[in-house]
Amino acid sequence: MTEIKVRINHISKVYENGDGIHDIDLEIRNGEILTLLGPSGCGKSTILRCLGGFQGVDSGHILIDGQDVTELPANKRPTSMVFQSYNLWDHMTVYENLAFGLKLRKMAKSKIREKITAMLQLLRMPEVVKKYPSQLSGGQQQRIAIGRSLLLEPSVLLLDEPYSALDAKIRQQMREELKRIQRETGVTVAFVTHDQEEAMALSDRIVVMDKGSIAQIDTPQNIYENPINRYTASFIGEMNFLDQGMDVQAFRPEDATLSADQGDFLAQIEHVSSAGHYGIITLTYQEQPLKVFVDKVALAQYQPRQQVYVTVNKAKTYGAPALTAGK
Amino acid sequence: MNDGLNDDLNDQINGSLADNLKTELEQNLRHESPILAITAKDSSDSISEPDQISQTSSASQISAHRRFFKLWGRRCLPYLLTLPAFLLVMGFIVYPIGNTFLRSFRDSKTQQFTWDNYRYFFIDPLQRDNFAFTLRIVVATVALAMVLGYGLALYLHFSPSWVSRWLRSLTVVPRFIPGLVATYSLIMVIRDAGVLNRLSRLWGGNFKPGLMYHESGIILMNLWYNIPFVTLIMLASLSALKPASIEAATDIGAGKLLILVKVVLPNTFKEILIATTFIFMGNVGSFTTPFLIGGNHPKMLGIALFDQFNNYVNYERTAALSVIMFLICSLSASFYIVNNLRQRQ
Repeated sequence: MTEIKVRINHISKVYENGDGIHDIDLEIRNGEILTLLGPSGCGKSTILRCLGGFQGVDSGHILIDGQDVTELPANKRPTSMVFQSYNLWDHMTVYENLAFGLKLRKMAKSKIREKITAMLQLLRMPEVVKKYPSQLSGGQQQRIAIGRSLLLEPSVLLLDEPYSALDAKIRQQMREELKRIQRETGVTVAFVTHDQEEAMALSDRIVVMDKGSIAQIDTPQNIYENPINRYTASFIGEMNFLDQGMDVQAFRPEDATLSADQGDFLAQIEHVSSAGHYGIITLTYQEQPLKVFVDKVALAQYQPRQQVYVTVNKAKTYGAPALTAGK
Repeated sequence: MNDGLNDDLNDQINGSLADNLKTELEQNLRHESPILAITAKDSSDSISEPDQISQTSSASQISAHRRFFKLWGRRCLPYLLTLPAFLLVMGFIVYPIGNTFLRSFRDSKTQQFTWDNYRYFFIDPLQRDNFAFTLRIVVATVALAMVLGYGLALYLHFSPSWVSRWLRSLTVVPRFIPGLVATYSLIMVIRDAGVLNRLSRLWGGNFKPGLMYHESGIILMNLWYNIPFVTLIMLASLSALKPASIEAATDIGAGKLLILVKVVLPNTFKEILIATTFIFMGNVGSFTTPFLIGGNHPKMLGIALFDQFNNYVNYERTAALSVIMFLICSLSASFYIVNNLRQRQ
């Protein structure tokens, strides 16, 4: 049922400064949104640039629709990329920007007009057709850039941190917009971001990257519930780590409860604050900081310097910190 | 009874208050009026300083004078500061140019109005040759310098090789060499008994470049100077071009040539225009190079002007030729300005 759109076979690419990607093995399924997530310098953008043909590989192969594209330059690949910014050509109108690729494909003028009108309809911004990029907001420019890529009907749409230059509110709208467009067109999307919240909200599957290698691939829910190692656990969502000699016990702030008279261990409350619809309580236990989310109604009964019992309802255990990667 | 007393008291208080207010207003009006007359804008100042009102008459008189000077000082200061520069410009630029302009229409003997000074340059066959010669050299210089300089800039910008890095630092060198020195150095190389000739003799030949006293020699020297100039300007322009906008074009399927025509050239158009205008204007009036390398006939306009002034001592014709050269340059300048304005819209 789930057919494979892109197969990345053991590709490596190391830059002069030692950064890069090592032996990456990855499959992208048809019609999914796959997110490459990691801090800067982890190699997520390198994978995308290798996919798009902007970056050669040292070894390994890339197959798109079963065809080996490893040696093909960017302009011969069935991919299309949306960059972080400066996607659109400032000296061309929105129409000219959108038409450029179609003209190159020797499409008839009337057909180009038809397709662009339909695309602007899909993007829900038909009124901007005659405007120049400088007359559009950052979010509008990125939508047009996505439209320009989609018009070429790529096998895979590549997005390289397209929303990182936009402010938080617009970014959320753009995520919804991208999901809608993806649903309506069924295009396969590879999305690079360093924002775990964005990855969680957007993706069918997330690839968590760590220093040029893949740390974990899974659905957002599974990565959140079962982080494979300490690195993933700390990168996705909030996580408490309790050092217990040989092992580290990890639990989410919402997976622990507080009680005045019974529980697993006694800890001291340091700070009580409200995040609106829930309360955040920070504690110390054996000089280690902890964070627990509590119901906003229960918040009033806790004060700083109070001793409370903590019960951990759900936890994972990882190896000793010295042996694991990450923070 | 009590009420009547109160009313009385109230009246007294009100009356004195009203009197005070009246005298204050009078003082205020009397002493503030010169300033109010000078500027309506400043009226907001006098209102916002209520303590001024309660001052005694003489104090506010002094203060009014001080304010008068303060106000005018503030207004005059910029003019005072710009006055020296203004006088310099008027005395050494505007006056001589105006004088030259008037003189170009004057007969040298009768001092009457005449077109003869201009007519001479458009009718005399030698002078017409000079015009054609100058325009040919300038157009060739502009065209070659732009094509070669732009090409070099593209190479330097897009090639990451060490050769490119080396060349990039070399492009600034001509800026540091005085024109005269550079011209003499080039003459040593290209003249018929120069370095090239002697090198060819080492291999048994006798190569004479034939560049001296010929337009090709002048153009060569101009290129030596102008190619690095174009390259510098275009490099700055190219570095403002974001890599993503080129990569986006590649991604869409455009080849190198198409990217150059559709993305790179339009984005650097303004600087192309600047470089073209500057080279054109600089070479129309060039003197050193044609003086040292050029032949006896035809001559470039700069040399022709020098001849009129120094050898023929005909100041009226000198003036006319100056005006003509100025018009040629302003033609190219206006071309630049008009295009610049259109871009901004």
